Amino acid sequence: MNKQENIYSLKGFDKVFRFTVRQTFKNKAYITSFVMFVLVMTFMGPIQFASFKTGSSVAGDVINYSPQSIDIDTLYVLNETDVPFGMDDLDGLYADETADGATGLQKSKVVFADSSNDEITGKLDEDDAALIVGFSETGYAVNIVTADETKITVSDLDEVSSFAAEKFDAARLSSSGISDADMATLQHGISFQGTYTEDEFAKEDQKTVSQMSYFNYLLGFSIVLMIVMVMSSSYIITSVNEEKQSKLVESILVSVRPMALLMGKITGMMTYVVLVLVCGMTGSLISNAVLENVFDSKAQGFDNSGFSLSIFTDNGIGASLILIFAIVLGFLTFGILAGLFGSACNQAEDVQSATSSVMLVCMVGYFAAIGAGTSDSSVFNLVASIVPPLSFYVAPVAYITGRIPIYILLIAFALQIALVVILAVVSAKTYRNLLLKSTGKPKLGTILKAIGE
Amino acid sequence: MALTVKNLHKKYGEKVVVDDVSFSMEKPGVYALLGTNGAGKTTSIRMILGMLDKDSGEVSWDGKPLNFDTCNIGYLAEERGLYPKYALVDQIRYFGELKGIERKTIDERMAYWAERLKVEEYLYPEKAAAMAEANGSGSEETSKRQRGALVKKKFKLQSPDQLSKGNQQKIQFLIAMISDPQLLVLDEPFSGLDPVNTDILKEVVREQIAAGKYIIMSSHQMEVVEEFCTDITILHRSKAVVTGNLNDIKKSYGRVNLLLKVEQDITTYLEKVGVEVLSEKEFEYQIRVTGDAQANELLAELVRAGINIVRFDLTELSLHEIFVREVGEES
Repeated sequence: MNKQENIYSLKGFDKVFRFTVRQTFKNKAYITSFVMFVLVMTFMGPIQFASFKTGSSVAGDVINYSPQSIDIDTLYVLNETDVPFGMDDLDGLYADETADGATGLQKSKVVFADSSNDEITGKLDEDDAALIVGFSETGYAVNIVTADETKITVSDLDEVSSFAAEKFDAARLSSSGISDADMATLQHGISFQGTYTEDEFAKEDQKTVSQMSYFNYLLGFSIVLMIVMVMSSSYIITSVNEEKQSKLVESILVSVRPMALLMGKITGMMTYVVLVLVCGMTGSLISNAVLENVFDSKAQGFDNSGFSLSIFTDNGIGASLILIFAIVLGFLTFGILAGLFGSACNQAEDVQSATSSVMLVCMVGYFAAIGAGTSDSSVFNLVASIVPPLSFYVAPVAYITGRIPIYILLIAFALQIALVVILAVVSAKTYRNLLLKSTGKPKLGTILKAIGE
Repeated sequence: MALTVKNLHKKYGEKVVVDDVSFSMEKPGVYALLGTNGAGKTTSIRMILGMLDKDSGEVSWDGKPLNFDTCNIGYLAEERGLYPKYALVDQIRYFGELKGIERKTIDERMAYWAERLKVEEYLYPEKAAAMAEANGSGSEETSKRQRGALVKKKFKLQSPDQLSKGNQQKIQFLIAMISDPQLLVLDEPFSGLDPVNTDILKEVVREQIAAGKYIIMSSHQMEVVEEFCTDITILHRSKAVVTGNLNDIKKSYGRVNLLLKVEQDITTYLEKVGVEVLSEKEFEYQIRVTGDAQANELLAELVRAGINIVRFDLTELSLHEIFVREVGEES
């Protein structure tokens, strides 16, 4: 090549881009993938809602105690404490005796005993149970005892004891003269966050969301980013390898420079992946809106439908732009990397190996990001925000949630841009060499060797 | 216009693959780049076309560095292929667009070359089907509808990977021609073609020469190259062992091939003059002489002896012979 020639020229990029997009959307396999992804993303919310409804009805069986289903002949209640706890306090424990064909635990079969513990448990039949309210080493205890040869199911016993324990808790607080409002105040928990230096406390104070919300944001953003990177890496490797295998690449390289060829392919595939995501997210938002407005899902306590896109919508337009910029940088990095690995493939079998290599880097970043979200350690967040490939996932979310200052975000972006530039420079030198010759397996070593040529 | 290649040099690791190769094309025509397998032809072509970095050397077109910005290049690579799953028309349009040609012009040229190279039925199967149907393809017993179905089946749009190697090659040649290039580089253009398609391609090459195109051709088929080329470079083990005008090169070897036909045995005279007899069949001799002088000496002897001479053809070495002489023994 003439030294005067600009190997970084992007002339012809737009034609490669258009051709890549057109052919991608003419390809049945890509169209099928597109439809599948959009359907999965659209119906993930409704499917989750359906399983939530099923789960909540099962959970409801436990929480909303159903006396009709309890098969206990006689339930002895022995209160060994000073807390007044009588028949009325267990209101709701009994089944309706007036109903036709009444079943379950009826009021007439609940006996408040004043005998000792030993006397009751010694005379239990196989259909009887004894509810003993007493003391343990740490406080009050509600236990249920049956005969050794009992026929009562464990789930029935659990339901009765849980219900009674809840009622006893209310009875003991009520007996102290506490009002309902005071009771609510008492029942709010206190969390212990840790010990901070002044600096740490200032940083902690800057956090705009809780650790749980941070984790949810990080998870949501990381999933979106990983889908973009994994999908597009796989498609780019396949596409580049297809071109290399078709032996057409020599004819192409007399019309367009390798940089334009690679970038045209990368952005063409990015368009496809972004369209998948946009359509999928739109579908997800529509299905969520339907669930909320038609099925009243929020009122039923369901607020986790579909993909969690709240980080894109909760924090304003500026935050969304930062996130989109981060996605573009991540895409470019992994796209170029995928292009290089794709150009090092010699046959279709090598594509799997190349895809695994790129995905491995993606996954390392993803899991490390999840780790950062779980621990919420300021040091871990700082490191994860600066060091690629972790920073692709962590930096924008950490900044938006007040965990890192803006200058750290700018350093992270600067490093990512530098990485993209280095990869672009390397790819301009290497991509053509790798395309034109049969290499060994698609390994990092193969690419590094090609840089030196 | 002129193509100048100066001191091309390339090595992979410690192995030199192209060593100081230079040549030039001052006027339109065919320049042959010849060599044994692994001599460095394809590497040289890739460097000339700017596909491969060269360690040193220069390639210029009309005084400017040669690249696709300074010269409209058409290239038929030795390793041929097409996108296996994309429609042929889309592929051809893509290559045309990469060259900056308008869609309308691309379609016009595509139609022209499809007809010229006889690949219309693969590019425009519906048109070919309609024409075949109108011409009454199919047996007379079959109904018009059945005939239509048969024709449509025959001319069904094929994916590129279903095309024969020869037809794929013709499509690639069409792609190389779609930009109406000034410089056409053909790497083994005739390999894999049957005689009919070889003739089609030869005719096209002749037309391109007449149209004033610059053509670099690499081939192992010496007789075909010799038919077109005016200048050659023979590469051997990465070096150019012969470079220049083919006629001049031939002249430099002298007229040493003598085809002699007589009506009686002349072994005595041949031995007397000391020529090398390559073959003999019914008094027709293929003889290697050292030059015009030795041939004239033999002719004089035969005339003096009253031998009836039916044929006496003194010719230069063929390109094939020059090639073998330069690289054959070692390779």
